[in-house]
Amino acid sequence: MKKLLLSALVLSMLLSIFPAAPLRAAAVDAGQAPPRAGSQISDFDLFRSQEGYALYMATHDFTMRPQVEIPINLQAVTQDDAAEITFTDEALYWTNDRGVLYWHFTVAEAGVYQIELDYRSIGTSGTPIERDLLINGRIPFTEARALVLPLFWVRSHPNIRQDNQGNDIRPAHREEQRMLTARLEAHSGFFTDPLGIFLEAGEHTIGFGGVREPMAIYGLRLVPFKELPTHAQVAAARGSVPHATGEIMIRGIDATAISDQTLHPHSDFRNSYTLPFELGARRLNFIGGFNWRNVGQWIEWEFYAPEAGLYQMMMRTRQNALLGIPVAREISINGQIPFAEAAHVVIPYSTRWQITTPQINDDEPMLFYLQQGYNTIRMRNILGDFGEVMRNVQEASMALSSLYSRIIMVTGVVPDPFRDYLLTNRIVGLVDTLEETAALLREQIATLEAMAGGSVPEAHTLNLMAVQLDSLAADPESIPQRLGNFKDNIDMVGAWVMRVTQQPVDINYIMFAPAGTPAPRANPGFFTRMWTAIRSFFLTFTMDFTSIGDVFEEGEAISVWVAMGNEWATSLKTLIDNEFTPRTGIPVNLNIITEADALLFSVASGRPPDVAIGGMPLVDFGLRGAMVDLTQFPDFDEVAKRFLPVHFDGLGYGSEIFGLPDMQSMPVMLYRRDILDEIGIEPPDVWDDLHRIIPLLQERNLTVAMGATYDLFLIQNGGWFFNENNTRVAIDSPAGIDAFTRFTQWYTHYGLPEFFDLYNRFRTGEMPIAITDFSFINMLYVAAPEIRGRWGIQVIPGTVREDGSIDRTVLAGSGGIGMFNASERQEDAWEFLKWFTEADTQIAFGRTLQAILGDGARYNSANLEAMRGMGWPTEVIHVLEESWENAVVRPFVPGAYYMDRHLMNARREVISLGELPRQALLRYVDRINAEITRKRAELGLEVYQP
Amino acid sequence: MKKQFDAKRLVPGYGLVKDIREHKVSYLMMLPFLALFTFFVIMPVGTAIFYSFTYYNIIEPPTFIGLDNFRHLLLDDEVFLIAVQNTLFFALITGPISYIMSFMFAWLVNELPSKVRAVATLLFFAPSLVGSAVTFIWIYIFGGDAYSVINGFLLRTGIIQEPILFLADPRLTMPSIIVAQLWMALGTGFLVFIAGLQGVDRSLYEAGAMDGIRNRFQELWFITLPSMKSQLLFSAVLQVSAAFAAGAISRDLIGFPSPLYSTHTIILHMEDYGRLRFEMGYASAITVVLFLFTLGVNHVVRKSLGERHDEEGAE
Repeated sequence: MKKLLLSALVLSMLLSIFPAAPLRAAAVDAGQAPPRAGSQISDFDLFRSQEGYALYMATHDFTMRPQVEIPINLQAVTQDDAAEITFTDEALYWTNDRGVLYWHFTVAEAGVYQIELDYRSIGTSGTPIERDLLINGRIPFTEARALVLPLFWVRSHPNIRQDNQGNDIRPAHREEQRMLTARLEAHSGFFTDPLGIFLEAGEHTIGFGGVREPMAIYGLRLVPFKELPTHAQVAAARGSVPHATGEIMIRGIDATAISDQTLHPHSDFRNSYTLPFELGARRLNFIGGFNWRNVGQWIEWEFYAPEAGLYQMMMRTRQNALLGIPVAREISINGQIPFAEAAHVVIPYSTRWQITTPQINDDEPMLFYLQQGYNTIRMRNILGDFGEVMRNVQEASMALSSLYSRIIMVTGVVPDPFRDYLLTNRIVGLVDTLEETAALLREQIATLEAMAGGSVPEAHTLNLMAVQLDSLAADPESIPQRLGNFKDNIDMVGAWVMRVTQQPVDINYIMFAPAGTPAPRANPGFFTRMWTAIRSFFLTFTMDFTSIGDVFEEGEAISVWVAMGNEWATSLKTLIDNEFTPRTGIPVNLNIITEADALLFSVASGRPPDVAIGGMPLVDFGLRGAMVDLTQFPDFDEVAKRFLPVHFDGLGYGSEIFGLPDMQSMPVMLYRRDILDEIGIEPPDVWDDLHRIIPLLQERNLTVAMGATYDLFLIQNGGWFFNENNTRVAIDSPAGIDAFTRFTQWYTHYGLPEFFDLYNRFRTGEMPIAITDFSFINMLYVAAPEIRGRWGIQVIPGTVREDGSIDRTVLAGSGGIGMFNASERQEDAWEFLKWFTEADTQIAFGRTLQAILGDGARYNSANLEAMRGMGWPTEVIHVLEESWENAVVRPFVPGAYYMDRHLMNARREVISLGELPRQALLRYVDRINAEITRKRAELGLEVYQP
Repeated sequence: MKKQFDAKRLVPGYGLVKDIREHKVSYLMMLPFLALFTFFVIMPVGTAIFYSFTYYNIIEPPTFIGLDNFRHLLLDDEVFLIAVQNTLFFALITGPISYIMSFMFAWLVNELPSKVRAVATLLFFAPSLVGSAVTFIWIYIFGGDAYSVINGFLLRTGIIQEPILFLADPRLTMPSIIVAQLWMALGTGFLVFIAGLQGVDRSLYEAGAMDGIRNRFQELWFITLPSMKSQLLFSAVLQVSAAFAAGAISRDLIGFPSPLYSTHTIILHMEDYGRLRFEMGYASAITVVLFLFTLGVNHVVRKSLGERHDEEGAE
């Protein structure tokens, strides 16, 4: 009997591992990595309810809403040293993103006020402005941290242009730095109204703390809440206004302004009703897409109305990202939300395109008044009613997290499955909390279903949690055994909130028509669809999908092969067609290579491209005579100044250099400021600090993400990889052995994990310190917005030398772009290489990538000037600049791959098999040297003579 | 099918041409296969043999160096010996088990009603179809992260304190990839077995029952197996070739190179030289050795399973 019970238990635990575990592959997909469940640490809840705006609203009297406006005199500013400000006649220029500014003001009537700000972007990076809001010197609630002020983008050219293959070229956007007015609101979108601040009568201060980007402030006011009239009130007040008689058609792709440069047109090549549509060519035909998912993003269209009057609005939309969940947009006409209902226009879920007509009470279309002449319509992403559901779910998840931490205080993270912890006695209100939370979640599901008018598959996660809560409440003794699963479910609910608040919508067209106009058909019929599918199938035989942009005859253009994704290559080609070819008259054919071996085979067959970017062993090719030695060009030295000189160490051999650096890597240290503060430790400055910190972290179940530190130890220790003439390795020097010993001690003595999912563990706070490449922060910006502002970046720790100074040498690296010897147009290829690596091109390329793919694709150019001008956060640039000063690059040595391989082997022998570090390392040195000698002899280079 | 003696065949130059002319339809029907076989089998093998006697770095033209590659490979290359050992070990474990598993499952599936059978066949065959596409699942299962499936479970139940590095500890990498390989074991061989089982003449079973077959195992041993000899052989040849060509699973799961060469196979050794070190000549020598090796083992397998039966079969 006991055996049976035990095996049932084991089985249930086995099962409990699976449900909450999204697969790893999903997490690889950078842009939309779903947070993985399974973190253990709840000490550092991602959201803290006690500081949130919801609690602030509950503890202050939000019914007091004085109808007065309090202007702030910008001139009477108080600042601290870090902030740099200047005044012009009309505005205050805050030219950096540091420090604090604040103003004194007097409140006559106590109550809740909103904050309205007139601002203008003055930065060059194209990233939104972020500021902390400070009331009386402190941040009043979490939502006031890192408030985002959107920018205003317009299209660089009004029309969409085409390449010589007849495909649309994605239009570029530029920031128009005009004055904008905004009421400060919560970035989460959980609250329908802008943020309110409760102020007693008397003296107060209001201020801002710099987070990102400089800005100009034109005006600052405390304003009363705005009440919008309803549609009926507006209609009554308007009196008799004629109904329009004609239709106005606005194509989604003709958006005239956007809040965010990622809101560019996309193409739907399947549905022939998505106009403009053309088989066999890429037509941009709708706007929105996954990029239009975040609260606050807006798209604006300016259009001409031939007659004034009342119109009903019909949009062809598609909203298929969130199963069953209706999403909302706020509509303003000519800068105003015309009536309350327009602030929350619902677009229901549908797998296909649909015609959405904004309606009141589900039957009466909203009527919008348009003036004769030019009008604008703006659609803004909001959560609306949905925000409250999200807030409640989040609240539930926080309540459960805190319950969880109380449980593990009793049971520990790994409870003994055979012990009864008497949890109901020890934790007050355990069962009640479980039951109440389950009820709360069920209520939210019901609300969602009421909003959607049907079942909501997406709410499954909540249901799962509710079911588990009920079953835990029914049988509290089983909690310790099901703890892991319980935690997974809590994390899933948290992740659900993050995912479901991202609500994309696609818009194909907006139509204004006289009231009562029947909706046009949204989708083609069966036979039309079938015919389109058949024709597009046959087009796959004739269309060339690997060439991008303008395509030229083979002989007259240089061919460039790139190992890049489609979006990257398209951006690059657009840049080439717009800039390089007109400037130099050299046409370029660009092809994407997906196979790593494609270049090797092309070289073997004697028909390589002229230029290749990425994806090749440059020096290996070069040493065997396939690449052009770039130093032969007279202006090489001039060009080389764009880069860190050490980068060339990895791109050539001896006096020959076979490539120019394109992207760079640099290890940095990232840390969670909030967690280190809470423990009361400073981020480590030298390795010895880290050695002291690790036990402190481990006491709290936290650990450190240690990247490749062997190289760092070696070079900071006065060691080096190779001997002087690179004929043998020098890792068997005392410094090398010492470095290897210290490196393996991370794992053997400190027990640091060797394999981990950095993104998740850093996000949850389990690994508050990480040594990794700086480009990782892109992922943090995109996929971990909830820790925005809570992490810091620093130069990697140094080693204290005997004289007390600190050695901060770091190991940098770079990719390369090179040209092939077989090329018949070497001068043209060199022009291309120079053009591609110059700062302007790199910045433009980086900006385009960022525009299309978002912050996650921020480009890490090897061009130093470009790096500074590309919109990387200033703190990152500071860290990089400091690192560049101390950077070295491992030179290319033939046969050195054997060193990496055997260092790994030696590491395994030490960590897995318990070998002594010195012996493990020395065992392999001879083999590495033998391989280097063999390779050098093969290539006809001087070999080591002992 | 024995040919009648034909005196004209003794005339020089007459035989073959005449033969072809006489049977031109047969030759015509063979042509597509012959063309493909020449292009995709004979030519690559020929090229590899040619390059195995040269120094060829892919970029520069090859230079003839005689038997140097083979001398180095067989006498100096200690890693090659590790690779041979690993390949044999891997093949000896996964080969027979996969083979027997394929047969057992085919036998089981064959007992099912025909509609269920189709579904079951697909289900069993699916892993080998998706194959390496789902490597990440195995990485997720075996991963060294404390949150991977096996480690997560063992840590939670308190059996272990530190995660086990299944995919990095040189003592555990080989068993790990063997498990993953066995999951994909039911491949083409399995399908061939099912086809073979379907093709066994039903009347033989009736006859067997009359002749005193008492249980299913006797039926299997005396009737089913002997009637499926050609399938057994075909499947065995496939299995042997697949086992010797193993390597992808190690590269996907363990990474390349594997720690302490613990799952380094001959194929991986070839790729190491061919792709990483630009020594295509040497890599070709490795493939030639592997080719001869596989040929030899296949010969032994055919002998032991009785080739004469095969010759009578349609294959």
